[in-house]
Amino acid sequence: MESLTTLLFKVSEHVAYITLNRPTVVNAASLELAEELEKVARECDESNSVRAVLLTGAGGIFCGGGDLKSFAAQEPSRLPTHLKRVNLFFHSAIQCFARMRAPVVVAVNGPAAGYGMSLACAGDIVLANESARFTIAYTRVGLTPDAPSTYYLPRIIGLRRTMELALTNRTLTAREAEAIGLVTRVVPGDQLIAQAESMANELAHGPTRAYGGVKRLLYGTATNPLYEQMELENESIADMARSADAQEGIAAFLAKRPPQFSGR
Amino acid sequence: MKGIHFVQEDSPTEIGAAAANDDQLVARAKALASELALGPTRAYAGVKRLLYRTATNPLYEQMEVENESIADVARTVDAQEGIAAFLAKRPPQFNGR
Repeated sequence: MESLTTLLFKVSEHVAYITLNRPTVVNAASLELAEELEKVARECDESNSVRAVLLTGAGGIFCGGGDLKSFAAQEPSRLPTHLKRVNLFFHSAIQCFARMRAPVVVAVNGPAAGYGMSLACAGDIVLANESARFTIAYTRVGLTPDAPSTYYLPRIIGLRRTMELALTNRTLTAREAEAIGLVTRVVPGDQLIAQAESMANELAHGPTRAYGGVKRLLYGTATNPLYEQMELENESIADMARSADAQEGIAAFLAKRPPQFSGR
Repeated sequence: MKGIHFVQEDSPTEIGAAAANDDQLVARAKALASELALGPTRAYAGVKRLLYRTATNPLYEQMEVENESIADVARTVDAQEGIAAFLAKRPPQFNGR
């Protein structure tokens, strides 16, 4: 992949490592960062060798939000167009994370505000350490949330809490985020990256197609009626039963040996 | 960071409703209402529209509605003021427009 200026990206042993890397400006999401995030997310989505993704931020910060300085550099009349262009890429990146078979592990290693909180919500598994802080932040500057925190947040923590956080921008500590189910787990600070890597590695050796099926079923369930969801589950399990990994998983279970999944 | 604290951050309430002692309830509600009354009213309306309609929107539909909303609200006087105040590290003076 050609050079990236706002992100670090590498793929190793089926794990894609994405690190937001603008630490001098709290890893803020500029148009360029959004473009690069879309590029690497699409690479992960399309690559057969990527079977897990680990997303984090450089410099003890996850992501401080949209790059307001670059937004303010636009002519005021051009700001709506500029935000739509940023979202063209940022939203596409998040769609890739939701759509891809590979599970996305997010390690929140510091403040996550605005876009940063949205991005943390978009992880399939979200680990945080005690320096993590979460704030929706958009209305603090007179904007409305996106990326798509108004989809994920009410479904993860409920409408009542989401409304309060969106209107007041109250900051959540890592512990409160864990207590209300916003993050999967809080781990000790110095173990965050090691634990996130270990989880990503484990998932990268799992039944990738079944993981993709789980994501499709769970991210679509909120708006499906009961019988529709049951039919999709039925189609999904029958599809997965055709995969090499399901054959291997069942055989290994019966032989009482660890399965060797290939992602096919 | 600026925020309105109904509950201690280390003691989240079980069901997410804000808890306050009886004798403080009305005072706190008034303080919150006063603070919200000086906020970016049009962005609040956008938040309400997004959150009260999200339940029946599929993912991509909601993302598009969010995108239209942030672009719309970016045209407001309050968004310009909010961004300028944030960069100048001063409190914003919202007027609801």
